[in-house]
Amino acid sequence: MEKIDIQKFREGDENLFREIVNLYGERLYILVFRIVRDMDDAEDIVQETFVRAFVKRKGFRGDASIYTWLVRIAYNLSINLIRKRKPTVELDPRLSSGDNPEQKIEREEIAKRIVEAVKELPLKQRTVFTLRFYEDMPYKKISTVLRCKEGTAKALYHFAIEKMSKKLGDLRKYKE
Amino acid sequence: MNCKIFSNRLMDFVEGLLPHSEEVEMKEHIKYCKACRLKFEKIEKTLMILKEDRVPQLSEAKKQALFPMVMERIEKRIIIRRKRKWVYGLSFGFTLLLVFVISVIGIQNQKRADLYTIFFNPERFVYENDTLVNNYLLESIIEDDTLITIVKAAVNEEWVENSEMAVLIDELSEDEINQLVEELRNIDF
Repeated sequence: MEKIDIQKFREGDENLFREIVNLYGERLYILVFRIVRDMDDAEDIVQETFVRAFVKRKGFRGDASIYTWLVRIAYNLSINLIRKRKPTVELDPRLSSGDNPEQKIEREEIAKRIVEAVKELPLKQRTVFTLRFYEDMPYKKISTVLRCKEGTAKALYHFAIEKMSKKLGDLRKYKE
Repeated sequence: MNCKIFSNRLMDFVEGLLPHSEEVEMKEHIKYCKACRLKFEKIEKTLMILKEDRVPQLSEAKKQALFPMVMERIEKRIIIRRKRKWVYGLSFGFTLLLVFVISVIGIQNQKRADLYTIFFNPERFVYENDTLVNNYLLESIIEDDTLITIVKAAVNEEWVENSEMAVLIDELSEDEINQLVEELRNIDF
């Protein structure tokens, strides 16, 4: 589906737009959640991303893939949200699972530490890290999303990993 | 390979982006350099831990509701935009009308605003010439040459504001007013 009919999209074809929403909705949600670290905010940003994409569809030239374009919109919305929001570090209670108590405590500890480490990253580093590490996005595409040079994207990713390594390097991975 | 080169290439090594020959050199280096090996292991462990970062899943209901919710937002946005267009259009039209009315009133008042600067003081001066001022007793002060703001006249030795003098001025033509102002200017106190 990556090969979408740009002309049809620009004309506002509702069926095509529905396909795009269904195809990328969840993927975008996961990405945005990793950046904003809040489920409600992530859902809201995803909805708003699609709204803006539809409203501004005529501005989509098809130079990048539609997904990259959507990520760019979502990234901008995330920036706005994070700038407005006071920094908070808390564990999302929805992350708990049905492990045994010992494993659960360990999982929660790891989850908490990851959230803390990710939240301490500057937003650009956080975004690059998410796109690269979890989405396996090439640096070239990341540079399109962030409007920066490819080398900068790479450096940001390396900084992010190094910082998180300092924060998380002392954790021992729980037993499966 | 020394430790500095190892550090510089470490992230590319971790990401598997190095050419084969350099990758072999890196692997060789960590065999005998404990500090670099620990550094590499720490990053590897961090990446393993980060893979455990879980995201709360969207429920099936939410996934299904996404498109309708997006469309609902879009429709609301379109309605708001239409309303805004109307409001902006009406505001613009009203502003234009207001500017036009104010300009017309301003132009009409311009002539008079330049003229009402006349004081009458019957106790100090008697103006006897047979002019447009006729039988009024006058002392005139013309402020800023032409800016006339206050009209007072004395009728039967009492100060009266907005007197017949104002009415008189209202009724005069521009030439007549100019003549009056000139006469007032030339009064010898």
